[in-house]
Amino acid sequence: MTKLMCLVARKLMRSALALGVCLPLAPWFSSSQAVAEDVTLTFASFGGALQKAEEAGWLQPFMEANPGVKVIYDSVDYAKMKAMVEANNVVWDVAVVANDFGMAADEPLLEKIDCSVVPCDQLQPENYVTTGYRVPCCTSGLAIGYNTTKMPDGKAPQGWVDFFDVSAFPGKRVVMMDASSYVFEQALLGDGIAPKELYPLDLDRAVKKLNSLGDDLVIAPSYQGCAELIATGEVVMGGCWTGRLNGVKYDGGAPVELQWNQGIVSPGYLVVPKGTKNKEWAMKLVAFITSTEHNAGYSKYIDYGPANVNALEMVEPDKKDRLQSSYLDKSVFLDDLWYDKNRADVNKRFTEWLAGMQ
Amino acid sequence: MTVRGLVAENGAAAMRRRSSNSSGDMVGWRRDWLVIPGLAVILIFFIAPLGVMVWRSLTDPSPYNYVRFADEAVYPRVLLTTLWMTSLVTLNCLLLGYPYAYLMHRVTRNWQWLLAMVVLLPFWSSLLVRTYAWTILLRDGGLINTVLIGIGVIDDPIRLMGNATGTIVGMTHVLLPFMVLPIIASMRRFDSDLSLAASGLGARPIAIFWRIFFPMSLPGVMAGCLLVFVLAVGFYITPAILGGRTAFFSMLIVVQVSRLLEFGFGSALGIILLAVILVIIALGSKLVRLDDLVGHSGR
Repeated sequence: MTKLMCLVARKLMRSALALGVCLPLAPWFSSSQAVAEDVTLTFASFGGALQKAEEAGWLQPFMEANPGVKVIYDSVDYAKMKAMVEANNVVWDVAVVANDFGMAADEPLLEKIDCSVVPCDQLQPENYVTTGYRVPCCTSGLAIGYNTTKMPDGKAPQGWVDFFDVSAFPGKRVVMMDASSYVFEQALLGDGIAPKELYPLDLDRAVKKLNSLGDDLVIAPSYQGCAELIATGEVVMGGCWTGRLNGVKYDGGAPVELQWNQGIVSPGYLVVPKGTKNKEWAMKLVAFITSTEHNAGYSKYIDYGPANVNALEMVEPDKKDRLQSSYLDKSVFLDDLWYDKNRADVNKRFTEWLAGMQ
Repeated sequence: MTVRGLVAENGAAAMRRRSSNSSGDMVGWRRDWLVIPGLAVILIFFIAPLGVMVWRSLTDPSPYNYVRFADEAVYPRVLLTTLWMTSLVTLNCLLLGYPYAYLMHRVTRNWQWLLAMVVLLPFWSSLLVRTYAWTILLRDGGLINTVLIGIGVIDDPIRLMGNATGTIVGMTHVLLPFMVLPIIASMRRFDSDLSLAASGLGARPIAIFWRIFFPMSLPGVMAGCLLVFVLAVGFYITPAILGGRTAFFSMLIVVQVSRLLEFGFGSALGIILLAVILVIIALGSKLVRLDDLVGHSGR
């Protein structure tokens, strides 16, 4: 409106006078325009390739749908979030966290998710546990990746039992280097425990199973290193993040295949830090990201799948094979209710195992 | 005069030179004012956060944090492993660094410059890059194993990373300059007239080295060892990448603080590590003049 008037004024007068008229008028007209607010939201997540996908798939479309709202990106760090809330100086409005955050123990740090705005019931509450302070946004996970040139006459591991069977599949195996990569779950599934009976984790049994591999067990130097060891054939198979395995398979052209059976789903969750100054807009952003229309939007840019049950079918057809969310019927899910009470013990046991204690 | 007497005399002369140097031209109070900005930075960014950490370790939830450290076998054990591996790294640095510094001391100025460049080069690239570079050399299919298998020394690759070996190799590489620099500084202080005098008195080169040169370079050796040890105890990235199945103390702190959000227990672990380092520095300072740590030549 303002623009139009100024244009007309300029056309008519073609002089500096127009500026004198337009500038004072501008605030009058813009206040009557549709956009009422100027909001800047901060979205904190894990960065890297994920950042590009989140920006292109979610944040840009959100800004287009809400002119006047700007979303900026930051790197997530649980300790930083805790320090922010404690210092009452919260600069993040929405954060992406892994399954190891956002349960009862972390509730004092978080705003309750407003399920009147967010489609909570479409977000597979039976698979992705929440106490109401987080909602799942995205799914990835880990699975067995194997080097096809190292498999004995065309055989392929069918699950974790095969992973631990060195007589049927000779050679080294790699697992990742932290307790948050579910190494104990892999061992217990390998010992024949059914996915539904995994929890409570029998940590002693898991350590024993891991130790049974002896020198055939390699600890990955990094998440990427996990997939690369398989790609180069230094190990015959490994339990690595599927995004990294897809990377060496599709982008690197390595002879690597994935066994999606008994893949362990590691969802990402959205949380809103307690004390954010833009709580209402934060909930709107959470609702936008988890909506049927937009949840699968970022899968175009990265091999992570949606969490909204209605969005599962909305990923691009050629991407479908690559996403953990396409194999939910044969996947293993984590029990975060159990983890919430036992996470310290699991980490301690993992450290003990790394330190060579039995 | 005996050789021993000469050594003592030379040391005393150096001390005299130093003390006459340290009283500068500036008037006392003006010199003291200049300390304030630096002191403020240290107070605000180092001492105050440290105070918060101590407070937190005692109150979040209680001083029980320290009992918990002692109660769980794994924490003291990881601390001991860390100290043991740190000692090995220090020893490695010394065994590599001393001959290197000696070589630097003996060659001509141009070569000296080149050797200094070589030892300082790693400082100019990121720690992360250097550590990943080691994985290219050390992995099972890496350069070292490929060559050894190629020339028939071994049949199967030997594990060079993913264990203590990897950590020690990587850390030795990163910390070597901190050993070489104080040693070369202390060798520079050596008065070559002493060797001449000793050989004039009939000492053979071996004896001159072991009985005169080496004892006089010991302050640099001690300073280098202390520096390397103290820096190594707190290492995180290198053991995390090259260590595989080894637990380094710093990793425990990271897990507590950023995974489990146990700020209190994490702080307690940090304070314990700091206390260990302070004890080492206190013991070391009996053997080391702090001047030697910064390579101050006294001339």
